[in-house]
Amino acid sequence: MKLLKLTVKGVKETTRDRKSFLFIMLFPVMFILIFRLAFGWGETANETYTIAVLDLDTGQGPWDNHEPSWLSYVNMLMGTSFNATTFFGTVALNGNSTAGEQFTGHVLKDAKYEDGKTRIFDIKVIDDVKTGDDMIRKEEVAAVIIIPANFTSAIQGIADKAVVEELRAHSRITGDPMSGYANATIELKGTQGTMAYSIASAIVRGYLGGYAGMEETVVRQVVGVPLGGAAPKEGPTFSTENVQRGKTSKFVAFDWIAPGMIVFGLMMTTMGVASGLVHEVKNKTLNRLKLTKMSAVDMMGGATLQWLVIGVLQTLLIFASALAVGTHFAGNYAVAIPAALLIGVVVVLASVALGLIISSFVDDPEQASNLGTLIVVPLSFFTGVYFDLGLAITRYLPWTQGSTAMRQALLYNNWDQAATAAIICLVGAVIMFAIGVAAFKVKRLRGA
Amino acid sequence: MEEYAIETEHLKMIYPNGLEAVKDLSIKVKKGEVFGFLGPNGAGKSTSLNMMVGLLRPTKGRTVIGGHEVTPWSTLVKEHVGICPQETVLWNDLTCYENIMLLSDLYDVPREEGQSRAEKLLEDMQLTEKHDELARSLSGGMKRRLNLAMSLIHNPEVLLLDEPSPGLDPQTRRVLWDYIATLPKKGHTLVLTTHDMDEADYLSDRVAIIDHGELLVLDTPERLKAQVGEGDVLELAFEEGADLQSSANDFKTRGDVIDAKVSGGRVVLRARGVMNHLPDIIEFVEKHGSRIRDIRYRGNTLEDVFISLTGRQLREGTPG
Repeated sequence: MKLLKLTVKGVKETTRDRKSFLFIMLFPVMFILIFRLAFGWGETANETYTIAVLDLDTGQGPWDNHEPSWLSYVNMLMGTSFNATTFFGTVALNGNSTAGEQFTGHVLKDAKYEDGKTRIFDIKVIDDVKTGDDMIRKEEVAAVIIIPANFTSAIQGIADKAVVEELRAHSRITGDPMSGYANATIELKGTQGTMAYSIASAIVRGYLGGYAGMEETVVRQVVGVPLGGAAPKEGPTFSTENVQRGKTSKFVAFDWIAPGMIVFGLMMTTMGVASGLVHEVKNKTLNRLKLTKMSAVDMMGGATLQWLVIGVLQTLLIFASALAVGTHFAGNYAVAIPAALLIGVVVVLASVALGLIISSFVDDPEQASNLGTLIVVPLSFFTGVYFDLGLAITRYLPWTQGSTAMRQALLYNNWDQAATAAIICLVGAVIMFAIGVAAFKVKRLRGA
Repeated sequence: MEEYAIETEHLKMIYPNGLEAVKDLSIKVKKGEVFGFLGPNGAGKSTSLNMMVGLLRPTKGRTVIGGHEVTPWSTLVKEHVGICPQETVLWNDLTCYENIMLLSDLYDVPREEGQSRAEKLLEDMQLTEKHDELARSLSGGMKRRLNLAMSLIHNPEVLLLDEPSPGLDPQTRRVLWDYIATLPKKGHTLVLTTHDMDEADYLSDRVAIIDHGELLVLDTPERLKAQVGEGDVLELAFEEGADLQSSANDFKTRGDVIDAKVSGGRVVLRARGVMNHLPDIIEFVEKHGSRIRDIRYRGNTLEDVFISLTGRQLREGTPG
């Protein structure tokens, strides 16, 4: 099969060019070492992040003192009188509190590492924005969280929406009688790009998603199960365990970086693909190939498979390097490694696609490599490989999703979220690959 | 059975920048012959070659190979034509054997047959000892031989050789030429482009001289040389400041000189038994107030044919 012949040829060429091969393989490993040193080689203890909270939530206690807007519908449709207080008596965090108080005063405050002892956050309650800004400036806190006035309403809105969906799903209602849900935005402030801010804000975001999801889960349990729906995976008990953020035995700042470093290493495939293909163009070996019976699919498939093979080796090497410098990955490695390889293969596909696009428009291998670096390095930052910048513009890029998938798999063992991110990553990679193939075929392979 | 391996009809190539690289080229290459395109750099040789095998789409005209019209990058070309490019186009990090076998596999040559052909080609090119060495470690001459071997692995009926031996030492060049000369006996038809008159003379059964994209003459090297005229050639280099054109005109007045031209900074004389007249010629020059710095004597070459047709030497190239 010609495609495989070209793959073998590519692997031979890449591995025999020892300087380039060592660069490709060892550059990410060097980064692992450098970052590990930068984050304190001996640091193995779980780190507690100091955060300031400005709670502006003006809502009422979500369950006890506030009758949910959906209650009358549930009572009417289910033909029973539903007593929220009775039901939520099992809920740990009920009481006369707002969602803001629950989230910051319990969820974040009680959050602990896997050891069950070390708190993730040390919370400082503040009264105004200026105090928070001062604390950031003086580096007294990793981040400031500002809970908006309508946070409780928004959380209730999530619950309301879940009710409507459950009722719709069981054909009890059509349309949305409770439309007009509140939207609230929690503001996270801090020094962008600092490790403390990146990690603290990412953890807060994770907990926020877990908190909102918890509320939704509770409601689906209350409404959906009596109507004949399947019970949600999580029970109605509201506790920090159900929004557990990580499952590693310990967690240090570098652990957050390591999965991203694997993605960064694989992103470097872009330079290899781009310079390799442009080399074929410049040396006219591509013309020689075009004169044979090789097809465009053989050519690009061969190059892709070649870099997937190298990508697998890279992933294993970076994974091993990360472990060697004391990274704490979660769960069973027999599962984590294949998962990392699978996600890595998808990331490589996206990187090969970028390489194909670059090689379609550049005529010099060195230029291709330089342009690749010029694109990949900033892209690695913008796609949250190192720190989650939360940029909307790069949210659906394959590398952003690849980093998310890698973190969810290796740090959280959260396979649902890892799979979702990996699938979005795959879709993005396939789209990019189609663009790359089209560009390369038109610009370089006409006639093949 | 078709008599011709390649036929071109009114091939014309005008590049997007307006340059008319080839003007109305119509030739027929016989099966089993070595057909040479001779001309200076930029004359349109490679363009003609590329159009003939469908690597370039002509602005006008067509090419027929083995009775089938050539279309760009067609399977017909891929199956029946081998191309030995002007540059050595190799994969430097593959061994000699791997380079040849890669193309063998991509041309769908059956594995065992490909292996056997690859071994034979390495032997023919005197590269057996370099079988497992990376192409990057080969000398220039070895690379060029490997380059040729790679274009023959699928046993093409037509082989195009684009400037096969520039920059090679005389010994390597002769090895390459001797091998190329055996190929027609193995059933290959060869089309070669060159600006080297010796190469064209040594290898070609027929030579097409091309300049400014125009076919000037087409015939066997012997007939072309005979067309230039009888006699031998003297090339005279004068001391600085001499009026070469005036000297050439003076020579034309002599009865024993058949022709005199200025070419390449020298006066080129053609005369029967020219060496017998050498003392007279030197005296003649000095009488006209000039001094000779260097004298070269040779028989007629294809370069003389080119000079007689264009007034320029081959190595002077084509402006623009």
